[in-house]
Amino acid sequence: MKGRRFPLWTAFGVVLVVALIAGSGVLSQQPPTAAQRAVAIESALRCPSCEDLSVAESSASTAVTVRATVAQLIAEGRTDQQIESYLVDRYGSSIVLDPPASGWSLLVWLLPLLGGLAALAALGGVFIRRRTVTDTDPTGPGGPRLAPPVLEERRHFLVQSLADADAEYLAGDLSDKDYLALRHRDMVRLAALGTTATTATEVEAGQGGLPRTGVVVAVVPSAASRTMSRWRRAR
Amino acid sequence: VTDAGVDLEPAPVRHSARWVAIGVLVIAAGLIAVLATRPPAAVDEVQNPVVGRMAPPISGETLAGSRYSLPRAPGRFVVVSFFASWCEQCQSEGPELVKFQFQHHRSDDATMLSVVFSDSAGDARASQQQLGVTWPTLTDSGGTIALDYGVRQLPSTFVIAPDGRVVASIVSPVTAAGLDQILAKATAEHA
Repeated sequence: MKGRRFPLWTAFGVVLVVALIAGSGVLSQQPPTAAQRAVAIESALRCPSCEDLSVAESSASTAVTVRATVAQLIAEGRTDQQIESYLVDRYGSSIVLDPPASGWSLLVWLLPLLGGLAALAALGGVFIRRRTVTDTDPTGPGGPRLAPPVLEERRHFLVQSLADADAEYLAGDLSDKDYLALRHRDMVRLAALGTTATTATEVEAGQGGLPRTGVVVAVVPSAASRTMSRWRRAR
Repeated sequence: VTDAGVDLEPAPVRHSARWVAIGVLVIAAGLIAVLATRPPAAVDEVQNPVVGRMAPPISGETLAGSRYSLPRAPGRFVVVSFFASWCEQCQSEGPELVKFQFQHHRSDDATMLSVVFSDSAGDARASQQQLGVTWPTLTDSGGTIALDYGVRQLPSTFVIAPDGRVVASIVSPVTAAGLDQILAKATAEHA
């Protein structure tokens, strides 16, 4: 299962990168026409006398003048950068719709990037944590080091499950075979948690906390100890 | 659940949510501090890029049909007013401009020049006649003078020093007294 998941994600990533590169037009060899350049420049400029409208979108007289100026400067052979500088020289940097990547305006560019990275890190953390919890065999050698609260929660769940099985068996809702199978399953899991708890307890030893394994020993009947012993011998 | 009557210690509490909240609060406080200390968008005297530089050339046809060209070094202060007949604030500052021109007419240390901004010649002419304007008013039909001065809104006024540098840019209605202060300051700085 794991072996198949990785290539799928890799393939998805490769397709995404290829699509982005192809869509961005960086591979296109055809230079833009004067009209295409004019539209691109005008779309990146703010209409001087409007609120949040580009020169390309506005019909205000100032926008019309800027459009005529852009066309004239293109005809004179100026580069896009020179045309932008020409207008910034007159109207200031606010004529450009995209804020400059310097000074305080740099925050506008950096904050979304940092936010995105933080979100990715958080998402990765959640995936790794979930994978550690679900994919690791608790009875296998060197089981996961679970945090004490998680351990306690699982232990409580298993103890409750055992009590439910007892109640259902006594009520006659479970057959002998099913009851024994359920009990054996939970006992094995509980025993595995007991071993893991020893590992977790070692981590918090020095903090004055009681060993959590004591809980398991106290609530689990002798069968649990036998199961645990059998499991330990099996290792 | 207890172990042989001994109470278990409470499970350790994770503080990640608290740290995230503190981080968000610090970022929000930083942004508020930055925004609160920035100068307001609409200040009377703005830092137009043209201020401090030599004045862009002004030449063209006047409403009277004659040609006008501002000398590179005019030899006296020139107050350039961009206006339109549809601009109410321009109409309200009009009498102040007339007053300023009248006060400096004899001393000849300053003069007025108007430029029509996004308006028809007929409407602009009627507006100027109503105010009793006697100084040249350029039509600027292509809007190139406004573009060279970075005019975004009306009323916009620029003060050009005798040596041809732009010493002030104002984007609100001006008064004769306010213009006199700008002239006095510019004179003192370059005395």
